[in-house]
Parts: sequence; C-alpha cells; structure tokens
Amino acid sequence: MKFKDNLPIYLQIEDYIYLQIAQGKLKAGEKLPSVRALALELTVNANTVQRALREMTAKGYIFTKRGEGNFVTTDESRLEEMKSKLLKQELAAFVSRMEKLGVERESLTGLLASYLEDTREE
Amino acid sequence: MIGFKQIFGAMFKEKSRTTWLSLGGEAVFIFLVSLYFGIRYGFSSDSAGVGIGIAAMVIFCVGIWYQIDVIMAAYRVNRSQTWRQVPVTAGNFLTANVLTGLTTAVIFALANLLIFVITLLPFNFGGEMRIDSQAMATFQPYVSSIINWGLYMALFALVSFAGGICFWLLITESASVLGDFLPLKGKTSKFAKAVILLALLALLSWGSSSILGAVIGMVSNSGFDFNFVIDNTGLHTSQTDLGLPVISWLYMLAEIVYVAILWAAEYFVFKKGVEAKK
Amino acid sequence: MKALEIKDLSYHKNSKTILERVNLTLEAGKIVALVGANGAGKTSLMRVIAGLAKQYKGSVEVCGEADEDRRKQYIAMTDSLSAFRDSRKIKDVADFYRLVYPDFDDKQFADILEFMNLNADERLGSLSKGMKEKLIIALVFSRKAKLYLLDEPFSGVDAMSRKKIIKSMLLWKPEEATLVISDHVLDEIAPVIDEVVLIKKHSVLEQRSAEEIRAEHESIEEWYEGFYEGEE
Repeated sequence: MKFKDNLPIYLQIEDYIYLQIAQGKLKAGEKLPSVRALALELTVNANTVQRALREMTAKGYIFTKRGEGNFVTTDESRLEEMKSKLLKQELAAFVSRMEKLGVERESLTGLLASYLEDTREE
Repeated sequence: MIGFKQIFGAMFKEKSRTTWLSLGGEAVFIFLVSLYFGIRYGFSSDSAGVGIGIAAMVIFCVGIWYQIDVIMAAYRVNRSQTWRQVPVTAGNFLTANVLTGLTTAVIFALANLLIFVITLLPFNFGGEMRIDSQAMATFQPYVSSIINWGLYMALFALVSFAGGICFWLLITESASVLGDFLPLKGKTSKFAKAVILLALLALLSWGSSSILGAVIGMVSNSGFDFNFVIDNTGLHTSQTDLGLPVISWLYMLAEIVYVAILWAAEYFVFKKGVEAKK
Repeated sequence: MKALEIKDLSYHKNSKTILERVNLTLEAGKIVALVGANGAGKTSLMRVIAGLAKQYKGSVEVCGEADEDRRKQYIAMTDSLSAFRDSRKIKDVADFYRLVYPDFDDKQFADILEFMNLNADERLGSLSKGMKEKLIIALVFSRKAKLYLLDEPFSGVDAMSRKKIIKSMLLWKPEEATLVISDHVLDEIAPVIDEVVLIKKHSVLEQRSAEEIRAEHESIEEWYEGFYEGEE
C-alpha cells in the first residue's frame, strides 16, 4: 500500500480502514485483522498501526475485546457518522481542488450537474 | 556471551580448513613424486633417494609457508568484522586465536612428519638397512636422556611458536594503531605504518635477544657446561650428568615469562586499539 | 530500560574528527532511520555502538551494558561476510553463526531464506549484490537481539530485493527490539520508520518522530533535504 509521506501515516491507515468499513469489506461487529497482519499487509510499522487503532477506539469506531482483538463497532449511528465524515472529506478535497483551478463555488453545482448529465449511462 | 571453548572450537574449525587443504595437496604431490622416482629407478637405488630429497624439500618449504600463514590468519581474524562481532571477551578471543594457531601448526607439523615417514617406507623395504648392533648397545643408556631433551625441545618449540604469533600480532597491530594517530591517510598512512612496524620489529627483536642473552649469560656464568654433542654413540653433554639440568628449566621459564609479557602487551593493544576492518 | 544510550561520544581518527558531542537515546521497539550524507559518520557511529571501533571517548550503553565486549550479545549488525571465501556455501555461514551466536535460530533462518528465495547450497561467489544483501539480512534476523543495526542495506540492491528486505524487517523484528537502519536515500523505508536521526557536522543534529514531521505536512525526504539546501 502506497502511503503519502507528507501526511501522518496513522491517519492514512485510519482512512484506509474507514474505507474498508464503508465499502462493506469490514462489517459491523466484525473482527479486524491483527496489528501484525495489518502492518504486513500495508507494509507499515506495527507501532503506527497501533496508533491508528487507538485513535479509532477513542473515536468509538472500533472496540477491543480483551484477549480476542479489535472489532468494528455495532453502533449503526457511529458507522453512519464515520461514513458521512469520509464523504465530507472527499467533498472538501474536491471543492478545494476545483477552487485551485479557478472555479468559483457558485458554479460548482452547475458544472457537476452537466458532467453527470454527459456521463449518464444509457 | 560465549565462552572460551566455543570460540576456540569455531576458530579451530575455520583455521583447520587451510591445514587439511595444505596437507592434502602436499600429500598428493609428494606421493606422486616418490612414486615416480621409485618406479623409475627402483625403490632401493640411490637415485630413488631423489624422491625423498624432493619430499623433504617440499615439506620444508610448505612448512615455512604454513608458519607464515598461521600468523597471517591470526592477524586477519583479529581484524575481521565477522569475528569481532561475536559476543566473547577480548581475553578469550585473543587466547583462542593464538592457541588455535598453535594447535593447527602442531597438527600440521606432526602430519608432515607422518608424510615423510610414509614416503620413506617403500624405500626402506626395498633398500637395505644396516643396523650396527654394537652401536645400539652403547646408545642404550642415552635413550631416556634423548627422550627428556626431545620433550623439552618440543615444549620449548610450542611456547616459542605461541610467542611468535603474539610477537607478530603485537608489532603489526601496534604499528596499525599508532599509525591511526597520525594525521595521514591513504598511501602515506600505509607507508608510515610500515615504517613504525619495522621500528617496532627492530626494537622488540633487540629486546628479546637482550633478555635471552641475559639468560644465556646467567647460564654460562653458573659453571654449567651447556655444550652437548651427538656422535655415533648417542647424545651426551661434556659432563656425565645425563638428565635435564635445572638451568634449562630456568631458560624455559624465561621464555614463558617473555611470551606472557608479549601476550599481555598484545591483549592491551587488541582490546584498546584494534578495530575491525570496515 | 533504553535500548541505546550514548552520552558525549567523540571519535577521532588520523587527527580527523569523525564524531563529536554525540548524545542519543533510543527506546525499545522503535524502527529508527539514521540519515546523513555520505561520510557523515553513520557507519562509524554504528561501528562504535557495536564495539568494532575503538579509542573513542564518552559512554555507550546497550540495554544498560557499557562494556564493549559484553554489549555485543545484545547487538545484531549486518556483516559483509568478508571472512568467508567465495567458494563457501550459505549453509557453511549458517553453521558458523550457529556456533558463535547462542541466540541464532535455525528454523527462523530457514524460513527467512525461503522468503528471500535463497538456497542454502548456493556459494557466496554466485550471489548477486541483492541476493547477498538478502542473505546478510536473513542472518541478522535469525538472531534474537535487542538492537539491530543495518548499515546501508539497500545500496546497490535492486528494487525487488529492497522490498523483500523491508517486508522481512516487519516480519521478523521482535516487538521489543529496536532497529536502526542507515541510509542516505529515504523513499522506500519512510513509511516504516518511527524516528529519524540526522547526522550532520559530526553530530546528531536532529532526532524527530516521523509522524511529527508528517503532521507538519512535510515528507521525511523533504524534511531531510531541507537541511542541505544551499549546499551542492
């Protein structure tokens, strides 16, 4: 997994797991891979994975069962919250990039609508 | 950490590879040469003796080369990063290095003796051996003295060889360590180290010959006649005393003390100064 | 207990300063990148820690052990295998390691060899640079040490071998062990390091947590290059 090196990796790991959950690859209440397995899969330091998991636990998206590992929360509202945060992040990045290209906020909805029209699948 | 036995074992295993390879090569060469001359001229003829002569020459030359190689091997081990990373105390490391050098040298010497004797065998059985039974009779009483002197000389040779290893390690490593204090590098540094080495060689040689000279002086002033003679009646000193005199053991003690000093000096240089090569 | 504690270290050779006023403390379990330009003193620092360099001043303690010879039992350092001729086989080298290192694990060595696609019957002389480096790493990680020192394990090594080496670091470094890896190029190891230690002007110029640097929106590489701006 190629992570950006100018952004804390633990944040990127968090995002990666959020994405997995949002995509349904990790279901509510499902057990996460072990810290070691994640570190190997993503080719990152186990310490960094642990930090990401700590943050996620603090935010309530995952919880630890002693002796068993880490699990995705079963709290649906939490998961919804997580998903909307992800969507907001994507939107924020999109808006910021468009603004850098000189597009004004007011024109954004119009541009998006015509693009969606053009690329609508028949 | 590992102990003396383990580091000795590991060093012996590595160093003896050269021993076996050299012996193997030597033995094959000598065997072929002796076989050639024996077959060509017959085993009992004098011309066949050329085979023995060549064998002796080869053994002599290889022996000299091997002694030098033992010292070079000890030097390489002291400076090898592979060896210096091993978790063992400096004292055990150095002692094992010197003793494995000594042990492989002894094995090499004995094996060479064996090779030489085996080379002689076909020539003996083919040729004639005239045994003077009368000479043997007069030889009899001197046998125990010869054995005593033989053992003494063997022990002396062992101590000296160990001392020789320490001596050469000491001067080569001291030259290298001292050279590292000079603000030089590259070829100039190497040259400076060579100069220091020669200076140390001269210094220590003078030092050792002084010590041994003093002991010899002590011995000659003691009234004991240190001359001994080997003739066709055997080995004897000019006095009737046939045993090993106390004085020769004092000489041995001097040598042992000298070697101990060399070892201690080398230990100091090794522990404090000898770096592993990059 | 700290994995490594260096106080006021200075090291000179041929009247040249190689290291001076070096102070460094490393915690257990961290992966630390030791960076600096060529000749900055990274290798010398590792050699001092490992007890291979002598005549230095100051104190070096590994797991609390200051004695030069005794601390070797806690250290596993990459070794160029110069003591072995090209004709020797990999398994001969493993035999040697087994004899002299009480913490050498045969099974682990076999596992790592397999992971690196190396065969124990191969001779040293027939190995490419990448293969040799993989072997050196295999030997290092077959030992259960507290401090692993990897001296420029990527120089001259092909990209696939580099990836294997990094993966092996994650697979086989014991959790409580500290790993120091020196390099003057950072891009591949950047994601796996906890800390960066920069050696400049013969001393430790900076010691920073990697995530801290990234939180300031700088890549480790950018941060590192920032110290050499204006120098050519």
